[in-house]
Parts: sequence; C-alpha cells; structure tokens
Amino acid sequence: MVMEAETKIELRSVRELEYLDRSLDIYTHSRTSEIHPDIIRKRLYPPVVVTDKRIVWGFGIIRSARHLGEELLLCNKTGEEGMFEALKLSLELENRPRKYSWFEKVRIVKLSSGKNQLDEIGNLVEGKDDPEWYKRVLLFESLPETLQHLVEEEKLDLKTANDVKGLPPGVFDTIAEGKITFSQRRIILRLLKEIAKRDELGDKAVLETLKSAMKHKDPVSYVERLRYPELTGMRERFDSLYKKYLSGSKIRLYPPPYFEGSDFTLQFNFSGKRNFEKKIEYLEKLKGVIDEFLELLR
Amino acid sequence: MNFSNYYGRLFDRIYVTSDVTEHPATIRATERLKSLPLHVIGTKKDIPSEHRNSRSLFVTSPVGNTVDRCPGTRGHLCCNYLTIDLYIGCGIGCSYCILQDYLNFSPITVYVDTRPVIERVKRLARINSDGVIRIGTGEVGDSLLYDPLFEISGELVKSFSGLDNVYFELKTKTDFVDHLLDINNKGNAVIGFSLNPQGVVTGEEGTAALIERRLEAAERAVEAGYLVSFHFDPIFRYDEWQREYFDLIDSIEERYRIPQDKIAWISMGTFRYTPELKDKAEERKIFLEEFVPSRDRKFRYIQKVRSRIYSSIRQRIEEHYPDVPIYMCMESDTLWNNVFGNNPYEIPKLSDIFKPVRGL
Ligand code: SF4
Repeated sequence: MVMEAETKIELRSVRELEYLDRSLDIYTHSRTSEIHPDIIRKRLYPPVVVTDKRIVWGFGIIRSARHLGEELLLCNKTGEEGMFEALKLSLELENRPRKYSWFEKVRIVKLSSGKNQLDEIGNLVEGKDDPEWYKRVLLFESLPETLQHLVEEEKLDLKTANDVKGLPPGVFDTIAEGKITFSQRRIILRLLKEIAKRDELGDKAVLETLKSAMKHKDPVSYVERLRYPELTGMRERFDSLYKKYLSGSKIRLYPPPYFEGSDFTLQFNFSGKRNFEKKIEYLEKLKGVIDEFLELLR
Repeated sequence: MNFSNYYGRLFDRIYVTSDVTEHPATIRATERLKSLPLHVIGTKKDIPSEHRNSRSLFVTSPVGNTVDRCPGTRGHLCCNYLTIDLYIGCGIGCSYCILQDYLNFSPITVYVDTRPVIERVKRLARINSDGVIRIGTGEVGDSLLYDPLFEISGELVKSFSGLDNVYFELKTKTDFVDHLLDINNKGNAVIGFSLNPQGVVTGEEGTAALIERRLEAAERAVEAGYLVSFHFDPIFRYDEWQREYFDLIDSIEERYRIPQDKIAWISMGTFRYTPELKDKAEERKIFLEEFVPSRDRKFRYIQKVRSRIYSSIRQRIEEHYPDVPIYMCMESDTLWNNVFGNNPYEIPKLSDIFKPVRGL
C-alpha cells in the first residue's frame, strides 16, 4: 500500500523562507534569472516545496521573488516523508530536463532515497533513461569546491575534473582566472597532473609550475614541453633544420606524425621553368644534409 | 607443492561444465582443490554474474579455433607465432597486463580437453614440413601458473615431441617447471621466461616469481633437457634502465648454467599499452614516460628512443650469445631497419622462425 503524504498549499512570506534555509543561494541554475516576472507575480509557478525544517525545492523561484520584491510565495508544505513525491511533482511541473545545474542535481539526489527513486526521477532530470546519471552527480559532489565551480560554469568537464582532483586546490583558482579556452584548460590540468606525479612535485612546486605556464605566451606549449621534453626537442630540431635549409623555399616538408614511421612528406608547387629549377636547387642542397632530418627517426 | 594452500588462496570456487567432469585433468585439479565449492554447470552462461571474475576457476572444453595466429598488430611485423588457448586469464596481476583490458569480468578459464589442439598441430606440422612452427600457450595467460594443478602442458609436450618442426613454447613468469622435468620425450619443447630487472618485477609484476627463481627454474629445465627462451618484454625505460637490463643480461651467463645452444630464441619488446589500460593504471609512474600513439592505437616510447633501447639490449645480448636468434615483438619495419638493418624475413638467423605458417 502506498501512503499518500499529507500536503498543504499555502502562502508564505519570502523573508520567512530565506530565514528557513540558508542554502538558498547555493542551488543556482542558469535559468533562474530567466523566470518571467509575470510567472512570479501571477503565481503561475509550481509551489515551492517546504517542510517545517527546510526548503525542499523552488530556490530559483524564491530568488526571483526576492529580486522582484514580491512578498508572498505559493508553497506546498509537506512532511519530511512526503518530500520525494512533492519534489517529483515540482520537477514534472517545471519540465526543464537537462537544464538543472550540478548543485541542483546534488540536491535532487540527496532528496531521493534508494535506486528506485533515483531511477524514477532520472528521466525528469536528464530527459532520458540513464541508470548512471546519479553516479555522475555523486562524482561531482566528491570534487573540491573550486573544481565544482569550474564544472558548474562549464569551464571544465566532469571527467577531467575528477582525474585532476588530486592537484593542490590553489591550482584550480589559478586556472580559473586564466584567459584560456576550455580545451586548453583540460590539456594543461592533465599534463600538470602527470608532471607532478612523474617529478614527485610538492604542492608549492605544482602551483609555481602552473603560474609560470600561465605567464607564458602559450601556456599549453609551456606545459607540453615539460611533460614531453624529448618530443618537443625533436619538433624544435626539425623546425630549426627546416629553417636552416628550406626557409623561403616555399617547399613544405612534414615528418611522420610523432616521428613514428619512416616517411617524410615533401610538397611544393611551381610555376614555370625558372621557378621549378629554383625548387630543384633547394632539393639538391637538401640531398646533402638529408641525414640530419632522417636522424630524427633513427 | 601444497596445492590447497597456494591455489586455495587464488580461488573461491570452481565451475566445471558437465562434459569434462570425468577428464583426468579436471579430476586432478578438483582433487587438489577439495576445499573449494565445486559447481557442475551446462555452459559458461550458468555462472552467476557476480562470480564472473578471476576468483572463479572455470574448467571446460574448448570452443572454436583453439590454434590461431598470434594476433600481431596493425602496421607491425608479425613473427608468425601460433597460439593455443589453454589457460585464459591470469592471477599474477602485472600492472601493465593487457589482459585486464581484454578479459575483464571473466573467470580463469581452463580448456582441459587437448585432443582437438593436438590433432590440429599435427596436421599443421605435416602441411608445413618444410618449415618451422612456433606455437605457445602464453598469449592469453601465463602458461605455467595453473599448470601444476592440471598438468595439461606435459600432455602437449609429449604429444608434440615427435614433431621435429614444431617448437612448443610454455611462457611464464613463474618458476613452476618441476612437474615437467621428468617427461621423457620433450622434443623441441621450449620453456620461455619473461625477464625484467628485479626492481621492475617487484614494482609491476604482481605475484610473479623473483627473477633469480625464474633463472634457477630455467637452469633446471635445461638440465632436464628442455630448450629455454627469454623474453625481455615489456622493457621499461627509467633512470637506471640500461645498467639494470645490462646487469640482468650479464648475470644469465655469469651465474646460471644455460649454454647458448639450449636457448631457442630471445625476444625484446618495449613497454606498450592501449589507451584503455592507461585509464585504469594512470596513477603509475611507468605510464608517465614520453609515449606516442602508433598505428595500432597502442602507445609506445618515441621511435628514436625505442631504436636506442633495442640496439643496446641486442648488442649486450649478442656479446654473450652471438648465435641465438634475437627478435623484436610487435615492431614496425622501420624499427627492424634501425635496429637490425633489415627485416626479419631477410635475416638468416630469423628467416626460418618468421616464415608464415600455411594451413590455418
Ligand atoms: S603474467 Fe602475463 S598474463 Fe599474467 S598478469 Fe602478467 S602480463 Fe598478464
């Protein structure tokens, strides 16, 4: 037999709600500010779910009401045992799958007990049946706070965040401040983690390494050079040989990827006999020194 | 060997399919593991999912191709080695083991019925009477780790002993050779030992035998009339790698009675890994050298670095054993040219063993 939990729809003051639950401002989501003022004013929102002890759901609505200067909000008061059903109803009414913030998802997972409830509510959160959805949420919850914010702000993906969470926390603040792209951030953090492990760097040294990288004009290459000194050295050697023998020739020369294999690729265009002869002169010159290039593969 | 003590610690239960309950190897093993619960089942599907792991021993008869070509790898020269699936899975637990990737969620499987294998190998030996067949059981597990329990390898050694062109190799990281020593007809059987400096063994090779113990076992095998082989695979690069590998190579001749004519071949393979394996073992330092993706998707040391490693190890081995065939495992033709100056099919010492096998 399923027990229907007792619920009561009532008007509560916004200030009282703010006082009731201090976590109000943690549970942000990207659409909070997009709730149309009329929805709040005309009370067309799903009632805020509250118990005697806490706000269960509806943080965005409270924040919007506060922002608009509304004093009263429609609330669905339930007992602790009715929280899950009331939450589910709210999510159904909100109908915004795939739009929940990570912090909201943490809240949802915490309010659900057992695998059945998590499966039941997963579809409302993710917009599809995904039996693993809450595991990602728990992973998110296990991250240090600065990393949580990077993930929440879509500056880092969850997998990378989880991989690099052992780095000293200062690293995440520093990387968050840097003006770099999403993928650069991922590469830098992953490489930094590997360098730290390989060279057994202490927290301070890791942070110093990152700071130096961020000051560099190309932070990714800076870290790449530390992680792959030999490979970077080979690339530089190739570039310097190219410059020495083919600079200005408009002949393109490519080593095999990662210097793995035996084939270099040579490309050039020519127009007219004189131009062709010029290219051949370059190639003649190259013939005498080609071993210097081949040496990179032996 | 105290079977129930040693193997009792490795397994929690045994599953046997009903078609092999009366097989002598099954009876031997189950007798020796009396303390473990035994379940007779129809097929592998009857093993509950929570028991499909390496704590379960699954004894059955082979299905499908039991003799096949070693999978080789795209873009790399194949040494035309043939493999027999006999023991599938391994509990030694090397950190770099590629089987973690292939055989997750599987019990340790033993194919006790060797008749189809023996028939097949005899047929191949006839078809390839003008060449050599190298064949081994150590591709998807350690050849000898579970063999003292089942004693199946001995049957194969005896059965292949009359085939002059068949070199049957048992590759291991154990020193479990004693149950094989008294076999009278060994033919060209080879016991192969995987070798690494003891520091690498301790750090990366789980419960594998100490190097000293493996080399002592090699000595006993030679004394009993076996050929042996050595596999420097995987070779790792670290600060002291060269000195440690050289010391190991030197020690074989200096400390053990293993004459060169008793060494069938020596192989070398630098450490390589699949992207999936890296995900699992990422925290380990051995993955933090400089690796680059190869054509088969595996990651390897930079080609130039591999060339240096192979050349120096090859040279050191040849200082001790100039006549023993040395080859590289899963390497590209560029590497062959860098290290040997030619591809293996053109190198007289190797051309025989690299000759493709017909009739598969
Ligand atoms: S001995 Fe071989 S099969 Fe066993 S764990 Fe080590 S690498 Fe894997």
